Amino acid sequence: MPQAPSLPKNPAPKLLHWLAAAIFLLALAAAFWRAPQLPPTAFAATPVLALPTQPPLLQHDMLPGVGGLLGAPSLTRLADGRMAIAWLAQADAPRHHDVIWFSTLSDGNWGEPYPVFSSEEAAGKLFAHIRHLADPILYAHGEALHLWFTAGGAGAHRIVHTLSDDGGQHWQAPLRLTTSPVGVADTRLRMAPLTLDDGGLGLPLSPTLISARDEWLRLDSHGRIVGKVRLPDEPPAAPWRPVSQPDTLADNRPQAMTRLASGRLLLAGNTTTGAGTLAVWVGNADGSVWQAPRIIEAAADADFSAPSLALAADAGIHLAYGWRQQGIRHLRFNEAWLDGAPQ
Amino acid sequence: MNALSAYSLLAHGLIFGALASLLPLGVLRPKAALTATTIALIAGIAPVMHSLFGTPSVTLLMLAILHLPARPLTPLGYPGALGLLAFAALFYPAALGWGAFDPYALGYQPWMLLGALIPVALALWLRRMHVWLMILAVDLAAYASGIFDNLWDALVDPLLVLLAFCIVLRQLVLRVIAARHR
Repeated sequence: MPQAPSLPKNPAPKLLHWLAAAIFLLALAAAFWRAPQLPPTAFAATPVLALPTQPPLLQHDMLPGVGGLLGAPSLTRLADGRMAIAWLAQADAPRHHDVIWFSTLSDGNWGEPYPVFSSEEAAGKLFAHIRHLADPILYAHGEALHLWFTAGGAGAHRIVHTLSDDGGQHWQAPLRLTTSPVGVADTRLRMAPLTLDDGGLGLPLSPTLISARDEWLRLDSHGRIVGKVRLPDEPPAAPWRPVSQPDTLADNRPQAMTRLASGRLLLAGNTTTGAGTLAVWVGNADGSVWQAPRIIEAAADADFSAPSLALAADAGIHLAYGWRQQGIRHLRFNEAWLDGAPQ
Repeated sequence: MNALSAYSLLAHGLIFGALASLLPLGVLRPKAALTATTIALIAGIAPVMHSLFGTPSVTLLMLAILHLPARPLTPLGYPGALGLLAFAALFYPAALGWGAFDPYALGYQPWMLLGALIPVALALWLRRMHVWLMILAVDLAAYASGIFDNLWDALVDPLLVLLAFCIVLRQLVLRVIAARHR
């Protein structure tokens, strides 16, 4: 019997099969092209200066009042040498909003502060449900002035980042940083970032949700996340090493640390007596030995907290902290005062 | 509004619309989905979902889009959902701090992750699972566009895991009911 003529096979399935492969390979190549390639992590070393002999210096003032429950200051030195500060004014009444304020120090005086972001503005620009702001971190890196803060709402806090390239006059639209695969994971900021050798930044985070491990974000010079590092329980030989802390330091309260021009470390925080005592400790270069604390503030039933430290261009030391939730107190001193002040 | 926020709001709107399309409305399903998507974007449901759940993955968005037409496609079946749950049971605790290894951190410099996706894609291609291969391609394209800093955010998210859980739970319930009726 003659065979019935066969119908031509539909080439569409075979075409679709190879087209799918081609499209995937194209997307994969694009993803490989986009993936960042970074050098190994290396923190930039702080230069040690040979300081001339200076008389002890201690000056203090209060930043202009702005209303609300004030706290969480963050100091930084701008590219032009001026000191800048951001701090949080929490809403103290219904229908009020949390606000992050900003000011700069010129000729020994703080300029009129102006608001950078409010919780209402952040909610509008991020299109998210935001009720509270917290933990402002201000950091000048080259010509860029970075501001990170946490925005909370619907039971979680997320880190938000914005940038100014004119010394804080104007700020870019804020961006939410994704640091966890779970949207409702509570991620908070801890302290100012450190500069990396490749021009990026290392930003410490609050301990993880499970097992309270410390983590930090690796950012590029624009503040975009390019890596995340979780510190192990037992520090490896290098580059991490354990740093002892003073016995009189309250390790469950906010702290600030900076390296002085002489290479020593300066630590600010509350003592073990509580939030009513704020002190600074001077340590050696590797943090293995700490001197007795120098008391900055001491008062029963008071709240002196969330210190921030920054070095000026002349190696002077600036300290800001929340003063009784009513204002931000600013101190300016030098290493001569630290070394000669009575204990 | 930045690109990530815009994507997240639109995606949550479409996901809300896909949820509405699960209702037994017959021929009205596509219109109900479109109405629900519009309401989610206008009435503030999408921003609340954005705040609660974060940015949805492109995988979930694609599954939602595939479910919107009059003849929906549902490529995520019981075996795939079970595999996703098993993966999530290991991935999320480690990402949230359990142990010294953070798999989520791999997504920021995803060379290893991209390499690991090649045999997965090859398996999908050999099994002619073109829908899943295209979903994976769209995931990678979205990451390449720069919307996502972390490749994991394009591939998987908690809402997708919740969907997988619902699929597995539904299958188990059906089996229990079938066993009782024998």
